[in-house]
Amino acid sequence: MADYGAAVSQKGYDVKTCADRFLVYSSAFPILKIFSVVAITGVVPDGASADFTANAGTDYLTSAAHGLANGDQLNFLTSGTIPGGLTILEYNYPHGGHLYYVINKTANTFQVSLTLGGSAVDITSAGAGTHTWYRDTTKIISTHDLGYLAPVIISYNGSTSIGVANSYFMSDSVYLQLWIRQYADRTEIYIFNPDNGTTTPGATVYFTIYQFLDSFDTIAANTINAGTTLGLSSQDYGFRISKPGYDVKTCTDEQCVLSSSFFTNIIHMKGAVAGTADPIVVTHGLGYIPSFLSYLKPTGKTFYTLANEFISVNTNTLDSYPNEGDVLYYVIFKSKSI
Amino acid sequence: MSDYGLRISKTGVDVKTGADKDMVLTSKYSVLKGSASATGVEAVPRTAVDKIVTIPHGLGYIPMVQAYWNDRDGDSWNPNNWYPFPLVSISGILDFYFSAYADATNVYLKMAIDDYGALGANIDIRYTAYIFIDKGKL
Repeated sequence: MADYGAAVSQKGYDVKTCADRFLVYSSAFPILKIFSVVAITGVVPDGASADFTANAGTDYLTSAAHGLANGDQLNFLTSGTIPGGLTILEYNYPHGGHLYYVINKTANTFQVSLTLGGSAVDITSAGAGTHTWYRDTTKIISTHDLGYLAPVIISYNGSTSIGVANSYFMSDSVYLQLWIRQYADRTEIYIFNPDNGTTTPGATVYFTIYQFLDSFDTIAANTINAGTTLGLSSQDYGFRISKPGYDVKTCTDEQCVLSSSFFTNIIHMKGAVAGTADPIVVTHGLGYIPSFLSYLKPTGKTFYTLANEFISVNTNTLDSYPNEGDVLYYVIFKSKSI
Repeated sequence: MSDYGLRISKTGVDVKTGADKDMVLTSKYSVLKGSASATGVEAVPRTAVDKIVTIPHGLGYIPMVQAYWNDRDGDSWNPNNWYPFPLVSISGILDFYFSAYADATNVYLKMAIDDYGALGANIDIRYTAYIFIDKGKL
């Protein structure tokens, strides 16, 4: 089929001659489509901890007067070797290991499951050294069921203890240590206590999740107009499409799917690259600093996570310094940062 | 009103039968809409004191934000490269705590650098922020 196409420029720019980045919409460049916007809450854990022993025969953990409830979430540390069947949750990249749910608790014993109310983890050995459980991390889950890894943006919206007047982009690691795992069917947000004392245990924390519909299927870089021509002859008739259920003539701008009054993050290129070299270098060739979204999928994992400290962009490339075998997922926009 | 909608496919995908994710645009799904962007440079001391850049947006609600930063003179990071907010980088010698947040009036870029009393010169941090009219808090 032939590509006749269509394009809409930003206000003040001639759609026929302006640089690609001044387009609000073009059939030559996709835009990340918002699949869902979800408000979700979690609870700051209390940080309780105690030592335990593990029984490989019964799959029970023993911790005198542990005070845990079924459904509590735990992670484990050890001074020696962690009992077989358990893992240690990693707070830093690559964020491996698991958080476990308490099941079948008695006054002094309990089992753990990888899912809420699920089956007991098979304890295969008692391990060595002193083992300690910690109730210092909680995980909240938002299911999207897309069936593939897709971009996500998350805002941390504060808590009942610090208030909700501010919203923090992606996370606020300064006050509350957060990290995410994005799977093909769900987003998991991990909330670690403590937080420099600003968010109290038991406080409800709030998040907004923008889940995008688009996959990381490769879209190669494409440029039609690379200049910065301002369309002096431009007439601003504009273009407006409302969200389903809203009247395009009367709805607010926020209720529009698209409006030529506002710039959009049209995509320059996107894809996924396995880390066989260090760094992974993705050439975008824009000649300026573009905005971007990027994530790393650790080796052997089925999720990706944020790894801002390992990813950067310059005027020609997006660079990432992951571990060998990690996969960089990226979306590079036409937008010019500087 | 009825939802007649609009659907435009990628090159090579049949617009009548292609999956939604293979559309360039569909009125079934919204997109992030940019309201404003801001750039600048801020001298951030190494004394672990928060340096906060305030960017007014005037939307009256909390918007979604994306922000990036750059070590202009290459004091500690590659000066050619830009990095996304937020960032926590702890080396024990020179630590960085950068976060971006917003309220109903402003976007804030909060930057703190700690050199543990070595008292080196300020680090000039360039920044850029995109402010969307889409809500960051529902």
